[in-house]
Amino acid sequence: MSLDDRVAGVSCREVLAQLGDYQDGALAADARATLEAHVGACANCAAFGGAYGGLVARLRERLAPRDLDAERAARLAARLAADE
Amino acid sequence: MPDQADDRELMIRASAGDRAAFGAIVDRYGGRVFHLARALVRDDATAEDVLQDTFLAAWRTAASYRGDGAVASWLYAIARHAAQRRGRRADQIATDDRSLEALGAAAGWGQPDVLAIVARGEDRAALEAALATLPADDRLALWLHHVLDQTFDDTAAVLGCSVAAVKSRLHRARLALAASLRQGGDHVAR
Repeated sequence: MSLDDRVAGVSCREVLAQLGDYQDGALAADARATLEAHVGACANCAAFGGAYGGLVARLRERLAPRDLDAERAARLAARLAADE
Repeated sequence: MPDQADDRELMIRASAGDRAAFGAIVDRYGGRVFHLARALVRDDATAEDVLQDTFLAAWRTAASYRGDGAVASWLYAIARHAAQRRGRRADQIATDDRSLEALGAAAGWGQPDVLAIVARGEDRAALEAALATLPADDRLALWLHHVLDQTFDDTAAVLGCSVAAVKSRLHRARLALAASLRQGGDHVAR
């Protein structure tokens, strides 16, 4: 098992380098198809890609913006009101 | 995410001295700016200072707002500078200079526990602790793009770099975050 292993004509190292663009939907169609063919046949990259994508989803879900709490909002409003 | 056209309308009114319109901007973005600041400076009291600095600066410079560019990214850029001023130099984390391959290995490529990263990321506190181990601009990029839904262009504008640099930073930051989560949040690049 090595990042230099080639599956479906592309190495795991190249897949690792392109994973960000794949996640962001920024890969050209042919590069995307090549990467997907590799991941479909490479257990290591399939598991890693799943974890990578899952982590991005957790960021969105778990750190979703929250409103200011009332006390902090009141202190901010007072500070702004005092600034004439 | 607040509507950008509404934001601009409110800011144009605020730029003419309308405090109620500016108050609506504060209501929309106060929580976002505070939590972004907390991710950057890593303590509540300093984050509140950054929050107040940001909106005071925004109010004082509102008259120069011309409606070009998103209000959100304008505020986040002010918050970034405020956090840089308020942040303690001793707490700054050095740029992570590990290679992509080293980051991938640390994040668990080829290891049987790699999917545990996702389970650990379910816990907000664990996620925040892992984020806190990353350099400030990596945290900022992740927050702006993934939490605050800023586009690549807007994220690049706040960071003061190219879109290509943002994409590269995001990829490395995600790998470093995965590595930190996998290692229990105890890796800090030095």
